[in-house]
Amino acid sequence: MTGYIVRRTLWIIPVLWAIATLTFFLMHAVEGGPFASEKPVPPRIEEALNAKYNLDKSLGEQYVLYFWDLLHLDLGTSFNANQITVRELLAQGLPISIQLGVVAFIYAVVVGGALGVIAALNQNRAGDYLGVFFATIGTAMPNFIMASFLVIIFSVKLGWFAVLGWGGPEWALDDPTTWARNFNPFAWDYTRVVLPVVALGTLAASYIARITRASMLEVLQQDYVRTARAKGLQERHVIARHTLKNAMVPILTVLGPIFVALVTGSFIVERIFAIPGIGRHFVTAIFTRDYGVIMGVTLFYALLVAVANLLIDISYAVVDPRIRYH
Amino acid sequence: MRKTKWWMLFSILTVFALTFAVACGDDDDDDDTDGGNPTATSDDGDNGDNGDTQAGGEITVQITEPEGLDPHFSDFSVDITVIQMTNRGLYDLLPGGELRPAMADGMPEVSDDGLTYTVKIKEGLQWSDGETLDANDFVFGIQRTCDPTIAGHYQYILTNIAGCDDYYGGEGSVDDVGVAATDNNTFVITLHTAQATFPSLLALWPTYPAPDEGLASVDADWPAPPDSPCSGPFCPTEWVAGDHITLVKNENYSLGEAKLDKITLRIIDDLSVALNAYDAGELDMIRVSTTDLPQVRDRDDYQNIALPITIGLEPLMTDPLLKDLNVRLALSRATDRELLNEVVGEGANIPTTNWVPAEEPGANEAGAFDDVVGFDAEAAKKLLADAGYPNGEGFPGLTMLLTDSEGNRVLGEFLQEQWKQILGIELSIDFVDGQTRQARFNSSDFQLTTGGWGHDYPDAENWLVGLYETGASINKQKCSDPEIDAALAKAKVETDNEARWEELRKAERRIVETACGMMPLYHRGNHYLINEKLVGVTPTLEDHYLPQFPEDWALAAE
Repeated sequence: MTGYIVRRTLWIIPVLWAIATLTFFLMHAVEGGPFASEKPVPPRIEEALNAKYNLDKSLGEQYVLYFWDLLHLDLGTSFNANQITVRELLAQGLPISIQLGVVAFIYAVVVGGALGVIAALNQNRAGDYLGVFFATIGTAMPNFIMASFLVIIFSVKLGWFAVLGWGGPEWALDDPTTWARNFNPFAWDYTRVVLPVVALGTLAASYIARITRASMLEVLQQDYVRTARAKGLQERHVIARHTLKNAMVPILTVLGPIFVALVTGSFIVERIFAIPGIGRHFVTAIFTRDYGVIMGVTLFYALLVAVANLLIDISYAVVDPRIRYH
Repeated sequence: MRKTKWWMLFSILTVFALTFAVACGDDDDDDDTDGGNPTATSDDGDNGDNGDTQAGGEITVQITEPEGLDPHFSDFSVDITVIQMTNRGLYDLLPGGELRPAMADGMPEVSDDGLTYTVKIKEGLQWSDGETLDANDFVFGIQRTCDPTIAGHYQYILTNIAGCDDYYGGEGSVDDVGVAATDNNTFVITLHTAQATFPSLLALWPTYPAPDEGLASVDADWPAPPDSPCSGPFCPTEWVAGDHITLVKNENYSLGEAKLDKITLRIIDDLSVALNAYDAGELDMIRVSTTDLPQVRDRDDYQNIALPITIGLEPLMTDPLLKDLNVRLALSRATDRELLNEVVGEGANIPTTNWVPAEEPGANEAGAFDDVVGFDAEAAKKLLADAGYPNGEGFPGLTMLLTDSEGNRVLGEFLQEQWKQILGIELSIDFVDGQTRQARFNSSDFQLTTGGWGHDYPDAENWLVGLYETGASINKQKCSDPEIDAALAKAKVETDNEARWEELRKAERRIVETACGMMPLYHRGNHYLINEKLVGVTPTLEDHYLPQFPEDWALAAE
């Protein structure tokens, strides 16, 4: 098992290198540069700017320079006039995107899982329809529509929640003493948490509900469940030990991608609630040709996907003893 | 089976209930707005000083994210908006173009040859940190704009200051820039040539002061908040990227104390989001997008501030098809600007054929070119026939370069439809992202695109000089016409306003009537919702993100 984890971890490096290389050449292949503006700067100044950011060198040289800096964990500087480094940019936005993603993930798992289980145990009865209804609405409604609905009904009309911003406590990734704040329930401003989380997490919750329901239904029909019941085992033991645990494998498979999608995929929700996370950089950096930011954010997302997949693979072994790693 | 139906019914009812909740809610809200404030009028902006205001108070207004707050670098309207809240210069530019002394003690003294400007600086001025603000800081400010390392995007506007271009271009030295402090309160500027509009430039951000004690050197970076040098009514104390910028009242500002204690600039990219937040009471002033205009334009808190900005079609003059004057005029005359404004602009713009807005000093009167380039379907058909394409037969096809946006999609479809109907020609549209459009425009790699101009200072000169002369740096449409060149060359050096404006009118007439890289379509305005409790917000004629002079803003007494 340890050998497997080490091997898989080492594999992340070439994967990241391949993604970085591809992104590097793709983004430079796109027309337009970071310094194009309505009132063009004189050629001499533009040359100076290009020289400052190594953009005057050949693509090959830029590539080598970028990877040299990357090896030293230097992600470069954003091209905007603030001269902020890409690391600072990530350090500002990530804590917020992570909070939003993690809370939405918890919401999706709890609500989706619960509805899925209830639906499966009440097949073709009220509980089932409730779950299926939720799953259908959640899947059918894109999150920008749902977010707008939620804001107009619950913020503008009813005034229960705030429209703008995120209510999580401030914390920093590189300062472990601040991590505990996330677990203090009184540090959260829930009026700025509920709507973004519901808007972001409902699609995932619906998906989890459907997978859980289908998986549970399948397991419930297995011979060993019937046997367990025939032996007179208490129903809650049948469900918890024999059904739920065995139904977990397909659910776990989707949780990894869902987790990553929630932490990274909050661009629209961040925009609708004006939350200063990392999602907007992912999109605006491409429009402004902010090469350093494009690379930094892409690499970070790639790392996140790789690590999440690794964790999910490891967790299979925990829930399904038949799976062994070599 | 009975249960299935029951649940289906429940589902349908739920959806209906939600829909009604939203629809009915809207109505209630409108009634409240109409009924609740029957006496409120839209001239709120003008009655700021009527005495019924509270002392202090805080407001939150919407803005988009600035790139930076360096007055000697920036050229983005949102950057400039914030810079004018946090920094001030020698003069304020009032609507209509009048100059009001700010840090200057009176109007500048000009030498007989028009080359030397002497400006007295008010005594006892201070930066927010208590440091002295005197003539030396103004010298330092202009030196920064001309500095090649700062690479100020607005340096071109100071090109007439002796030595500025050379220094910026890397040839001269900072000591040769024609600015000096002969004593602590006397600021002297030397020009290359006399320029009648030069005083207006002393109201613009590239001439704002820089703290000569606060910055290590002339090419040092402008510090970010909370350390940004602050000479204006409000100082930036915090900037959380993507979230907000906090401005607090500058206690050391001596040019008329700000009334509010604090302004929070909330960064919101999406104006529909801002509208929701405004309606939920979280914001006091927002910009309104054209898309949202129909639902807010009848409200009492809506304000439309017309701006001297002109948007038009820009043909590339070296294109084999578009270098034919008849083709260009046919396109211009086949475009119904009134209808365009209704369909694309929600009726919020001012349709025009003028390039320089008529209210600018030195402009031609409104509609002066309608007979030549205005909408006339029959004339357009005839022009296209004269060009050799009767009813569009044999027309080689035309491609328009547009930035991909909701508004541009409607605009593109509108032109496609109208030119198809009237001229029988096919227009194809190349939608690209902003940077690609800019790169192609700057390298003159397009046939037809849209573009425009908003003035830096109110004078026809700013709309023409540097834009339409042969080889001018921003003349990417490659307009090249001896008559225009001659008129602009004369206007540049003429110091008598009437004679100068005459030349500028001539140049504008020639540009518009020959569609030399520009076919004007409309003048644009900014749309705001302003909380009726916020008073003293005067319309601005500058293309800023927010109205100017936040020191006059105040909350109405309870």
